Amino acid sequence: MSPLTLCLLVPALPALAALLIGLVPALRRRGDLAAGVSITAAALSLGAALWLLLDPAPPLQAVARWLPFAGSTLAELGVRLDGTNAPMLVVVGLVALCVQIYSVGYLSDEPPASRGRYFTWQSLFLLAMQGFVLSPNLLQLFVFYELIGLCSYLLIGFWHERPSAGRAAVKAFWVTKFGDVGFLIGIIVAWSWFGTFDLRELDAAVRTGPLPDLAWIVPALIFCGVASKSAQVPLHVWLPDAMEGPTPVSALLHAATMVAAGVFLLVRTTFLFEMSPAVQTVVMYVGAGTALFAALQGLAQNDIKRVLAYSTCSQLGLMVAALGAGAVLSGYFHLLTHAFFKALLFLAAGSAIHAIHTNDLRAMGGLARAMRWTALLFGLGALALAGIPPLSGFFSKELVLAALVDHPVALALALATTLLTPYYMGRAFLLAFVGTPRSEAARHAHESGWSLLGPMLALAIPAAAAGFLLPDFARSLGVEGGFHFDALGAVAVGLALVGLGAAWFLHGPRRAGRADALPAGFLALVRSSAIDDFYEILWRRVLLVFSRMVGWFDRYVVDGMINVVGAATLALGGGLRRVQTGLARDYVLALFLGLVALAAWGVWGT
Amino acid sequence: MSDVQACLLLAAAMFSIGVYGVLTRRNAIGILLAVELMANAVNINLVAFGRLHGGPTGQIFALFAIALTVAEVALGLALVLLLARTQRTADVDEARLLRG
Repeated sequence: MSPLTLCLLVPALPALAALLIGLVPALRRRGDLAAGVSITAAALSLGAALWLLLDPAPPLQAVARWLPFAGSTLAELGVRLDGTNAPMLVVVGLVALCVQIYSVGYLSDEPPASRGRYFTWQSLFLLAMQGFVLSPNLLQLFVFYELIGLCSYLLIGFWHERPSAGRAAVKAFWVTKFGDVGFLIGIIVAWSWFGTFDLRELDAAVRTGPLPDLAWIVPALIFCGVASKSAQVPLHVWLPDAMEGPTPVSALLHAATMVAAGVFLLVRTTFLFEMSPAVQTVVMYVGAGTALFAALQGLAQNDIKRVLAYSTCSQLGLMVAALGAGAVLSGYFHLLTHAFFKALLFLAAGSAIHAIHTNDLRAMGGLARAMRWTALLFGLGALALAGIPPLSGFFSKELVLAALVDHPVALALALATTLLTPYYMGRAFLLAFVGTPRSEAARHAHESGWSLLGPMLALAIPAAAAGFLLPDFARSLGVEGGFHFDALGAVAVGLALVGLGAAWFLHGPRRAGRADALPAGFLALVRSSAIDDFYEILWRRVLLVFSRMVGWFDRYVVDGMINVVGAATLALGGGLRRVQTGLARDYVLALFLGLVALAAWGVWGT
Repeated sequence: MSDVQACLLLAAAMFSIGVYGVLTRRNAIGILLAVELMANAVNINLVAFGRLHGGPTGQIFALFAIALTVAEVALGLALVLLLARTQRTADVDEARLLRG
């Protein structure tokens, strides 16, 4: 098959599956059949993506006219494949496939119709993400960006009968939509300057110059979209709440799709960010700040999924910081390795949650005895996240730190994150899997079935070994650079070991599953919902009041004017109807008088 | 007073009587008759002016007008008949379906 056919198959297969499951009621109501269709499509799509990666063709771009405009084409729809997005296709496909297989076991207690709905959204999500990764122009990127947001909303709110899930879904939708407005304006501004949406043409236009005076506006606006999707402070508030979705959904959202979309957008539009070093600096500090802020939040969480959520947020901060520093290879490689080990961590956490039906770390404990594989895989993921050599996270995190070496403040923030990450991951592992069971459910825990363990094992291999693919990845990207273990790397590993040691010392077996080891004041501060409260005040006190004012103006001033016109017309009509008496002689009289008037005008008027 | 002037005065008087009749008559047939008077006043005018100018044009017009008047009366009587059938009256003051 030609590369173009394969390229089109990657998003087309999940699209077909989503259509099929969504439109054929017989399929949707039989959850197992729907799962089969969805998984088959995902597997074939992954096969096509793998083929494209292993058998690299020269960069290709094929587009069809979409919006005709003034004799030419305003926007095109198509695919673009090059060394940058080929690896992403495979990572997205692999994680999505693992998550879908895992979901079969995880959601086996759900009614069949619900599962049908779930797999429709899953297929749609895969289509959205692959379409996004393959987009050749900004407008198509935006369209699929929105579709990703929609699918996240649908999946976070999968258990829609829970009010909290509904709220979390709406929150994720609105917060990301808020940033996307900036993204859209940025696209329009870029189009008004350069007259094209196409990434290649934009790249050429930016490189040859001359640049407009306010060139920084475009990357700044695009970063709004990135910050909301990739949960950068202060737009990170939706991400912890998104844990209301089923755990496989969290794995998908926080590893390879939703949050990765923002970072991938940053990778794709690097050339726009290079127009303005000032914006790049801001991006770097926002990322580094997010990394540390989220890591601090992660220290205090007692919900295993929230620990992972904040760690996602923190790692996304590192990626954004590296990309802000101009190191595409570092940020992008961390995105890919993170996708593997974070998906693994979520699936392992889901395996534990599935066994004892709670997210609360304080109700777990000692699960390793019954769930050896789950504990082993969670531990592996945690070590990879902590950056312990030779696991994948070690390589990518070293690259991120090396990218920040010229910016002392950002480097300090990143190093602090490197210290905190192993601590909270160690704490989560020790609380969940070591010690004695602290609840009845935990005492009767049992290992999950192969439907759950299989995908976890499949993800564990790249999570452990993806670091060794770095040279191939750099070649695919066409970037100089590689891995050098230096003093900075040694410091980072040292910090990671200190963090793990602290976790062992504060939450180890001798401490009998103590959840809160840090000062109470600090924990209270971190757990406070100050940012959420701030947004709520903003919403209630500012936005709603403003809306009411606008509503009053609309109701009484705008509508008032319309009503006055309407009432006047009615009154005039009511008055004039008296003229119509229905008496024939009145009409004749009017006719006669009119004739006399005409005659008079004819005689004296002219 | 010439012949033509006398004819014009007669026509004006007939027309005014016709207008008065249309405005005051309540019976539909009476109104039709008054309209007929007005039409014939016009005919007299046509013939009178035709005679003044010489030539047959005025008389030809008058003949045409008489033929048209016949058709008009036939139509008018049919309307009156319908009015009488549907409204059970020939009094136009009673038939006020068009009142606003």
